[in-house]
This record gives sequence, structure tokens and C-alpha cells, in this order.
Amino acid sequence: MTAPPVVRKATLTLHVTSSVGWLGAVVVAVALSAVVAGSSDAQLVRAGYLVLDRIGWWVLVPLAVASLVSGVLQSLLTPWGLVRHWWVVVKLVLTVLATGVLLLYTGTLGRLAATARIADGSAVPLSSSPLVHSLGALVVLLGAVVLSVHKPRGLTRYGWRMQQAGRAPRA
Amino acid sequence: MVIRNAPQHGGPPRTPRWVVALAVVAGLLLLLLLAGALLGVDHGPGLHS
Repeated sequence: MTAPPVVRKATLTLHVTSSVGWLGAVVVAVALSAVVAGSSDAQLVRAGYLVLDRIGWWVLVPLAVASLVSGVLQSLLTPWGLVRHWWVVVKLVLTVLATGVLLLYTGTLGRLAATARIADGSAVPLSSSPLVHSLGALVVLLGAVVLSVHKPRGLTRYGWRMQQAGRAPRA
Repeated sequence: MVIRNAPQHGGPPRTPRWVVALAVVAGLLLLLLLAGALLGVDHGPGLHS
């Protein structure tokens, strides 16, 4: 199924915007996590955990879901397809994985924020976990960017069959 | 000239090398996480709930 150009351009715009926004938000999370992990200032650590929790729910999750949904739509509405080319399949797996881990990790961010709220001025436990997870997300998202830009060749078996069916002479 | 991922005798194309390499890396990471879980290293979705 191929959609009209105006629909394809609209979904492409949504996909690029949400994906770039997600990547940018992850870079912010890396910077914030690095500050939190390396700080001895209890107030700064508390503030960092609280902001990371808000960024998680208000920025990262909406952008991740928007990127995933618009990416699936974009592939289904264009000749690329969802499972015809390996680069699309791998990018889909990376995005689903990153979104899933993010959704699970919001629980950890919520617990760290709750600890920071209760601590109120006293020392809060330092954790390198947000830094490790945000760096992992950054690597995965950069991988998805590389795939999108280079689009390495390689048809899946399904894509090959569809291509052969398209080439077959019609009676 | 060798054409990468070319169809074998008219059959479907082979899985590209870069996909195989990524699958191996993903498998190794999964093994690492499983080994960590078995050795009692604190990590994984269980901690995120």
C-alpha cells in the first residue's frame, strides 16, 4: 500500500521530528545523569533525579512512542514496507527495544525521584544507573540514525518474494 | 566480480553480513545479561518495577 505524497510527507515529517527530538532529549539525559553521578552536592543530586523523572514521562516516552508509531506508519505507507528490507527490520527492532527499556526504566526514575523527594536536604544515594542507561539509549539511537542515512542493501526473504511477484509477467 | 547477498541459483538472497554481525553482538549482550543475572549482579527489568 502506497499513500498519496502529502500523507507520506506528513508522516515523514512527524517521524524525523520525533526521532530527532528523542535523540536530543537522550543527550540532555546523558548530560544530566553525568552531573548527578559525579556530584557531591545533595541538593544538585536531588534536583537531577526529579528532573530526570519529569523528562522521562513528559519528553522521552512521548517522543519514543511518536517515533515508533510514525516509523511503522511511514514504512507501511511507502514502498519500503515494514519487513521487506533488513535495515527497516533492524531499525524497528532497535526502536522497539529502546522504547521497551525506556518504559521499564521510568519505574527506576520514579523510585529515584521519590527518594529525592523524601530526602529533603539530606544526602540522597548516588546512582550511575541513569548514566549507563542513557548512554546505552544514545548508542542504540545513533545506530538507528546510521541505518536511516545509509540504508544498507539487503532484502529479506519476504521482500525478495514480493519483488519477484512484482516482476512476474501478468497474464 | 562477486555480488554480495546475490540470490543463490535463483533462490532468495542470503542474510547480509552486517545483519549477522549485529545479531551476534545482540546475542553476546544477551548472554552477558543472563550471566550477570545468574551470578547475582543487580540489573534487569526486575529492578525497574
